[in-house]
Amino acid sequence: METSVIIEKVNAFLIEEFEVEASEIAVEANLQETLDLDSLDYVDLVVAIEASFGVKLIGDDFVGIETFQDFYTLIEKKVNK
Amino acid sequence: MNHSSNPISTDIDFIKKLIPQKDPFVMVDKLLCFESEQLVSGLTVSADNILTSPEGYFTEAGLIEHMAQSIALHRGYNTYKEVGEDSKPKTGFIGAIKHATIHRLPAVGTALITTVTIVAEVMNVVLVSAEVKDETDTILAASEMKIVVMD
Repeated sequence: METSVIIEKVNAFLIEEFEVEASEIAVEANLQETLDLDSLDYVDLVVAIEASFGVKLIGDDFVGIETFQDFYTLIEKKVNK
Repeated sequence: MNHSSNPISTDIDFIKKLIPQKDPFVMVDKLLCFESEQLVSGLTVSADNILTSPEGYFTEAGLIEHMAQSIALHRGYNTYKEVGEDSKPKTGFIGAIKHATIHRLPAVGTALITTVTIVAEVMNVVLVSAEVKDETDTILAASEMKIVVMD
């Protein structure tokens, strides 16, 4: 799957699920701060990613994920594995 | 899951060993069926249940607590299967409730049959869907809950 398609799909469910404005999403922005994620929200991310891409993330996958770019890269690796 | 003919346990003392809640706040009394990511529990609504209203109906809070304790029962029985008699129930708490719907309050004497399914688990947070039915297979309540599990 192409990177642009992944980014488009990820941004679509982030906007819907976490009620963030599209304009707030930037590759270098901090994912946790922008989406105002608490520990309960990560399980929603996992469910949304599985529903959108058919891949399952675990807690350890989020270690080192700081920016949206990190998150896109993580999903891209999982999807194209 | 076929649970009607051969329940795992209807022994309330055994059930109590699997969950952290204590009397008078025990809201499950049957373990009907278990799989790695699903469990079917039961509860017969009694008049002396502290979450039964004076009018004789199990309250909304009772249904929510029953669903949450069914999730605790899943974890407790899973641990029991791994560890045996020495297992101790892990405590947890409801972190969030999503999409909770109460269709009807069950009257005293109703036998609740509740299916809980683990949707996802990340770190110590478990997302679970739960559905409560009565003996006639009528849906009484449903919800998604995020349970935070403590070690």
